[in-house]
Formats: sequence, C-alpha cells, structure tokens
Amino acid sequence: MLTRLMKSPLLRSFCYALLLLSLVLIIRPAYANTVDAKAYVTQIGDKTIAILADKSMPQATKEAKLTDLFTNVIDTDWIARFVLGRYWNTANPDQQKRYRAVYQKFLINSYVPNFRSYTSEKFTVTAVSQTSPQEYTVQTQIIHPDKPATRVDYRLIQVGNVYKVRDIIAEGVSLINTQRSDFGSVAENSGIEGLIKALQDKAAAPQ
Amino acid sequence: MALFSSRIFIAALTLPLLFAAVTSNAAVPDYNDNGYSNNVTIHDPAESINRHIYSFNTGLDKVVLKPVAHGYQAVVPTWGRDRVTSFFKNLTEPVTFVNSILQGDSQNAFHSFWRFTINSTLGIGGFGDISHLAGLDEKPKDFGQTLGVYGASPGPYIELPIIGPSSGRDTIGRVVDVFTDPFTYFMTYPEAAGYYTVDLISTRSDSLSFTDKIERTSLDPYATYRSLYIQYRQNAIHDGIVSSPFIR
Repeated sequence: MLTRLMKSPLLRSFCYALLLLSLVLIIRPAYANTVDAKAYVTQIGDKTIAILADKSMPQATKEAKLTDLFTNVIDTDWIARFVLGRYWNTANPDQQKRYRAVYQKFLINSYVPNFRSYTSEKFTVTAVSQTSPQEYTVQTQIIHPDKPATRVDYRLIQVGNVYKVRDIIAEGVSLINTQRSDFGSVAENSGIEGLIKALQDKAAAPQ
Repeated sequence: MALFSSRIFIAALTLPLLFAAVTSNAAVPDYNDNGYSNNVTIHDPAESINRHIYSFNTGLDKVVLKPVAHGYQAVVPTWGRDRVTSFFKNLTEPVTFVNSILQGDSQNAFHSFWRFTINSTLGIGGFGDISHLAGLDEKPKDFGQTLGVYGASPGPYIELPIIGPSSGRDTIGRVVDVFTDPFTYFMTYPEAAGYYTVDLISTRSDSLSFTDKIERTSLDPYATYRSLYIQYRQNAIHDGIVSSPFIR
C-alpha cells in the first residue's frame, strides 16, 4: 500500500537518519561557531561511521556504545514534552513523570537497534546554520552506494556547555512532529494511561 | 515585463497557502514550540471511514502483498530487483517532465528529458540508471504537487483503497497523471494490469524493511503514516516553489 510514500526516498532516509544520530555526539562549546562546528561534526561523524562499519566489534558492544551516546545526545526530556503537545497539561505530575521515564526507554528500544541495518552509507555535512543564539541546524547528506543522496537535517540546542538534538528532519519530515501526531492520536483515543501503556509495550518489545 | 507579471501571478496564487500556514500556526497553543512545530495541519474529517480503509489495506497487505513481496525477494536477486525498480522509475519521467514545465522548473524538465532519453537508450529500456552517473538525479513531480505549487491546499486527508495515503488534491492529481502519462495510451488493459501489478510488487519489496520499522516504532501507524504523508507532500511542494525560476 502507500505507493507514493514507498516510492519516495523518505522512509529509507528516515531510518538512516536515526541510525546516524550518533554523529551528533558532538559539538563542544569550543566549536560553537558554525565554521568550526561543521569541521567538527564531519570529523566525529566519520568516526561514528567507522564504529558502525567495524565488523570486528561485537554487536552487543556496539549496541551498548550507541545507547550511551543516544542518551547523552538526545534531549529526551524536552522531546518527550513536545511530542505530547497539548495533552501534556492533561496529565497529572505522576503521569508526567512515568511518561517521561518510559518515553526514554521507548526511544532507545525503537531506534538504537537500527544500527544493525547499516551497510555502507556515508554522510557529509553540507551546511551548518545558527538559528538562534543557542540553536543550530546541521544539514547533512546521506550518501548511498547506488542511490541518490538524501538530505537529513539535525536541530541542536546548546544546553549549558553541551549540545543536544531536538529534531531530525529527513527529506522535510520532522521526527518530533510525526511523533506528536502519533502520540496525540493515542492520547485522544485512549487517554494518558493508554499512551503510557502503549509505550511500555513498545519499550519492552524485542526489536 | 512578462517575468514580472508571472511573479505577481504566482505570488497571488501561493497566498492561500501562506495564509493557511499562518492561521494553522496560530491555532496550536502547544508547549514551548519555539519554532519546532512545522505548521502542517492535519485535516481528516472522514477519519473513521479512512481508518476502515486503512484496516482493509493493512489486511490485504498482510495476506497478499507482503507474502508476494517476500517471495519476489527470495526469487529475484538484489541486482535484478534494482533493474525492475529503475524500469518503473524511468516510465514516470514523462509525467515529471510535464509537471516540471507546469511548475516553471525548467532545470528539472531538462534533467527529466535527458534522464528518460539516456536511460531508455543506453540504459536499455530504463533497466539501467545510467543518467545517475551523469549527475542527473531524479526529482519526481506529479500533478497533485503542481496544484500545490499554485496554492491549492491539500483538502481532506483520504486513505485510498490499495493506493494508501492521499488527499483531495492529490487524488485529483493522480487522475490527471493517468491522462498526462503517454503510456496510458499505448497499453491494452491486460498490459496495464500487468504493469501496475509488477510495479506494486516491486515497490512493496523495496519498502518492506522500512515499513516494518515504522510499524514497530509507532503506536498508531495510521496516524503516523498520515503525518508522514502530509509532511512529505508539503516538502515536495515547497521544493517545487523554491526551484521555480519565476519565484526566485
């Protein structure tokens, strides 16, 4: 089904975007200007790909490393709240707390295992722009061996002296906005408790 | 002078789109958006009907299309499957060419023309994608997108049987695409049936691993695909506007 979506490079690039998330480990305060940030992201991104492409590293080690990176790099608390949208305010403090905890587990279980599907993609940083004093958009291209390159943007925010990822935009499709639609629909139909339950199930499901 | 007036003309046509974006933005008082909300509104008045069609599509997919796609993967090696994918992509170039012109994207019209010419000849009927080597990357265009470039809003979200996500605008676009596609006039009914069937199997096979992933990671796949589709189309239209020489 879904023929038009399926023909688009979107699905493919979305999955790779999540896979390459770890490239954003990354920008340190010393590099908090766009020119150096670009050089730095490129360098670290290449290193990340080297880990992904390392055939001698055991899968379990890779997974542990990437999980660690993922939790350090993604602004999960902020994203958790964003994706709940207006339903955040309908949840009581206890529900908000439980939701945030399970959301992080859900994210890790959903996206970290994507590294298994890595084959030989490469990426280049095409541009870095500063969108506000604390925010940057890093534009990248994922280069596939035989297919046209796909564009993926990462939105970063400076929190204290580290950078965190708030959104990944693959071919114009935003991860957090997609999740907001998804979660909003569940919250509308099954309530906050239904949403927490659904997230628990997904967080525990084998990938 | 002609250039100037076409700019005004297109600007006037795109106004409703901008207006829709502005009003929808104002209507969402969500937490701490800080510009992260992408202003894509989802208008799905027939949601309950759409969800029924979605269930039907998913059921059909599970029972028929997925197993067939898996079988196709088992029988045909990757190299062969890539050739089939290229073949079908090549046949969409005439529609891309026509719509590139309608959207004022002369560069893409030029690329599309040469992609089709090179791939149909040197690429042996489109089975090989040679033009990719010459840097002529594909940028598919269709009539639904053309309508969007000229300011038509998507209208209601529509889940079409078998085809899947669409909108009022894109459904009209699909019908027009059938008429602007020269192959429509060359094929007999049995040929067309074969054509669409193989295209469907090939497309499904190409997307299996990705749809599996999306379905594993979303809580409500219907809502997720709806959002993906609307954002994806919005982006395609935005690209159409940006690449138009009249607007730049």
